[in-house]
Amino acid sequence: MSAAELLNPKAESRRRGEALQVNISAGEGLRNVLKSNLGPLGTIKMLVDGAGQIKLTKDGNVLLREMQITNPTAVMIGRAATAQDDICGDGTTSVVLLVGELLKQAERYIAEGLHPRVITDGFEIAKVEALKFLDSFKLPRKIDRELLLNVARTSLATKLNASLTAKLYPNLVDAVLAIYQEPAKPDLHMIEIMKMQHRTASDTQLVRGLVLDHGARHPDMPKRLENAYILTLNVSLEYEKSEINSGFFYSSAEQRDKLVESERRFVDAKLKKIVELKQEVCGGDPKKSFVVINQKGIDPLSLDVLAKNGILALRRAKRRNMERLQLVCGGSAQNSVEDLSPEILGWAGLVYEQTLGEEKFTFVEEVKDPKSVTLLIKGPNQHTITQVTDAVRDGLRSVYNTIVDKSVVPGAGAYQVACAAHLKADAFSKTVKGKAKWGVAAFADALLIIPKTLAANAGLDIQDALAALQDGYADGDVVGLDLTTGQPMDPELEGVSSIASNLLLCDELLKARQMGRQGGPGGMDEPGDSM
Amino acid sequence: MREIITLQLGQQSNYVATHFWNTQESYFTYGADEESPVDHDVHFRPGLGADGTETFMPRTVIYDLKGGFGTLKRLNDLYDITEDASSSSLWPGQAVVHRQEPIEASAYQQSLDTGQAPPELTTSTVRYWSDFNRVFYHPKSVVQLNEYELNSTLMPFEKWHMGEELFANLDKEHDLLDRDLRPFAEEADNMQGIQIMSGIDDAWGGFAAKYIEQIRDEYGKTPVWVFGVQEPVRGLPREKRLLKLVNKARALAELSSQASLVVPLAMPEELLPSSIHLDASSPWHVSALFAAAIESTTLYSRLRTTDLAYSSNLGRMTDLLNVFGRQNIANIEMSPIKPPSPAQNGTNGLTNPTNARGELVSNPNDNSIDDESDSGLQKGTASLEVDLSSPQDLRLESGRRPRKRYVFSQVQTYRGPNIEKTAADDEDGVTTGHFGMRRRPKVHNYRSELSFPLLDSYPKLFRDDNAHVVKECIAMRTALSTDTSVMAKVRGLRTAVIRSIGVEDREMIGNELAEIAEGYKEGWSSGSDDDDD
Repeated sequence: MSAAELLNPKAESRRRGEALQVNISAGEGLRNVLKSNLGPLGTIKMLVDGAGQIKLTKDGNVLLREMQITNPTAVMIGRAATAQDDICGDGTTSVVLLVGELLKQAERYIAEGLHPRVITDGFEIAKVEALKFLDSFKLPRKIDRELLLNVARTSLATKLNASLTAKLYPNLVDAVLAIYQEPAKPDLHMIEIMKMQHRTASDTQLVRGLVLDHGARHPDMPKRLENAYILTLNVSLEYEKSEINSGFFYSSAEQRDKLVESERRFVDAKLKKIVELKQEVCGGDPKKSFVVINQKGIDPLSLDVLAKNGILALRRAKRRNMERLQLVCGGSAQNSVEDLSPEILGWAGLVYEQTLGEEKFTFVEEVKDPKSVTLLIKGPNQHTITQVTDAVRDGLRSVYNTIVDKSVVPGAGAYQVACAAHLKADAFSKTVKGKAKWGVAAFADALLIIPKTLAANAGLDIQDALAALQDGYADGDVVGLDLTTGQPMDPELEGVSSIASNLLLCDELLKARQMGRQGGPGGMDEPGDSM
Repeated sequence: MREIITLQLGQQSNYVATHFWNTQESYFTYGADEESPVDHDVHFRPGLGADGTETFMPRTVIYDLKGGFGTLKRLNDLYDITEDASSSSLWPGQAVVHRQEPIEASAYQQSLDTGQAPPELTTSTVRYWSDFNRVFYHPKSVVQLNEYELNSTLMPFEKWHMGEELFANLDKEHDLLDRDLRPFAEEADNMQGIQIMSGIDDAWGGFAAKYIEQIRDEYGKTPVWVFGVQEPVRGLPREKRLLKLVNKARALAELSSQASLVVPLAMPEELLPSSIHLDASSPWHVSALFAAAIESTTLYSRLRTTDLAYSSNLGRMTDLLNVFGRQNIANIEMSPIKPPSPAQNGTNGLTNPTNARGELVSNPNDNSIDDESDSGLQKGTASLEVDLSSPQDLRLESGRRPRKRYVFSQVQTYRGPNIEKTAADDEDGVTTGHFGMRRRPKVHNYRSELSFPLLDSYPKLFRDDNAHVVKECIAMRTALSTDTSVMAKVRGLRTAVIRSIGVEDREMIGNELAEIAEGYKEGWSSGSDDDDD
């Protein structure tokens, strides 16, 4: 009886070898689920949950999050992979494939009697070398629109069909370039992603301005304004009871009414200041108009006052929209009405409202030089919108990563092929002494899973394709897999590139793996620590 | 309009809230000449379905873990227009289907769909809260968190920091408040408050604490009520109990610093009165009792009113209860009132609030005998049969001599057929009479003739004198009070858990709990027996 069983008779205890087997098969199981996803010729997954709800996705990350996984090792691998996604925004499927393959390769050597510890040592050495190799392998590039277009297209092409990809990828790049102000890193939050259940996915567009998901709450407010001055506010325009316990202040209805009235006056004073500002900038000129976008609430009485003065007012704007609005139309957001002046106002050529069913949208457009933009994602139903949103998110992250890393790695398995060859080359393998070299070898073989899977998903003969790739590399070329011909080609030419930071994942997955391996007799260790 | 927006955080709270919404739905009237005493606009929002039909759905956001929603779909029939999902694939390649074990729709749900008379629900046919749900929710109301799975043994969502981290991660990525709560707030003209139902003894407490912190930032003075739901602990191993207590201690410490009012709810450890038959192992049963108490005690906030629009809202109630500004943890008690007639037992149980019975304070432990006149009550205050406040901590005190309870403020609600002695204590008592009396408990009475409806989705908990099941509706009395027993409970809790809290937080939490307890000493020094702990 193992120690765990002594402590908890219900614990399902597995002996060491058995535990290892369980872990390895879990890793492989997960790999098998995900492997058909990889690359531009993979399959899409349709997840049907217990309630019969359907989710269509090609994103390994989404898949891992939404699938029900019951095996502890698989949960751990999934966690590591989704954590990877949080850092890089993409590459989840590759992580899972690599982990599964590492386990499988290790199994071979363990069957020959090698201690797992020795193999992990080899992995550690190989990992360090692989990262070092990556530094020399990656191609530092000057960031230009052309390069980013390639990156965006590669990323989108793995998630969406060709015509949609062709339609969308320039939008992604232009969106990021609009918010990119060197030398600061672009803040992707400054790209608003707005979803509209309307028309078709190919109507998805980049709006050089801001789209808000709400509209005026007063029937008399204008629905379309040109030449609009925009006041961005974070000031409550609601009747609020005062801070002090008002219950003590009145004992009769009249007293209470008085109190309410005096508090109302407080709100009215704020409104008066806003109306005065409108008069100041617009005067009697009917060609100028005035819009208030407030992060706090505006109650019906206040809306009424504003409507009477021809002001379009939106309440409860998103917090981030305060920042975005300043970047879109200029001006500065106000936390009080004390310092209102024409200088703090933003400007937009066109502000209009669109109603779709119960939802309203307000467009702030025709602005000068926006530093924040909106990607308006459309689709006839939620499934479509979700797919586009997931793809757009990953695409934006790829573009972002390229800008931040200022380098690209040739894709289509080129890095994996080259790295595997490097790890096995004499120059490196001679520096590894002792039994650890089998760990290194296992790592090198495992890397090849990426080109192998790409080839398999493309319906090519795996060995043929791989051999061709390795021959090409031996000749000194940078080779990737051309999925239409199965012949080596220069991946850069085709614009197939992936992102350097994806390789960070090696670290994560090795940790996850070690945890799993030494996961005690039950293989049921607390997974929390590895995250 | 005085909208209340509801937040439901976690499985436990969703059970409670489902009962709550079922009850709200039962108040709907469909004839032109009937008018419900309840103002439906408080809790429901008008909208348009996908095909343009008008909808009327709860102003609520429901959070639950993967697997927590059972058969409830995010897009209900009114909002789903997709005939075939696979046709909307944006991928030229083939689709591989991964099908999870489908969950059969419960017989109850099926009969609701087909309009037949539903079969009787039992503890075994209720598997998820959605199994007894009678309400349609807006797609924006349904938020499934995929990071954790319900009842997972691998990674149970039970530690405080998990909730905090989950909220922080999601909020960083999605701006949870802006995405989930804001759309409901935006459509509210004059929001009277936000009511939050949350588990406080699991990781949801941490989630709620972070959430409320953000609400405070964004919604300023809006009253925020938290109903903190706890699982019955009987039968759990000791370390689980302790973990739950630690979570609860943290929840009380953190929530009370942000929320306007915190109302902890737990099953009493004592035997329930004979009028209640309940299976404590069934969340469906336990939550039903909680829901009855919550629904009754907040009934006033959604009744149609004319003049009292400002006096009967959550904010006003908070002011009434939190007399000294530092007492925002309130105890909730309830008594179902047995039909058929409010005879001997019944009238005593009602504890006529204007009936002065001397200044002795009743012992909160002995809630079963509180209606005997010699136990005595503070002027006007009531102690009701079932104390849901936080009994398991109370037991820590049971070795000592029973503490006296001094009530600072109490809001009593009576709902049910009018009883004789209503003239003296009508709602005027709320605004007059207790003005400026610092040394007296403040008792505020609300009454409504609207009994608590017992729906077919509601378990048959209540029994009359002859142990027959009470049908259709039941009169109910609830009391929400700030009183000195909170001090004892919080102190007891502090003593019990202080050693189990990590060193880094121990001092802070300990101090905060001590401070909360301190807040209940104020204004009541006479004969106060301060225990040192």
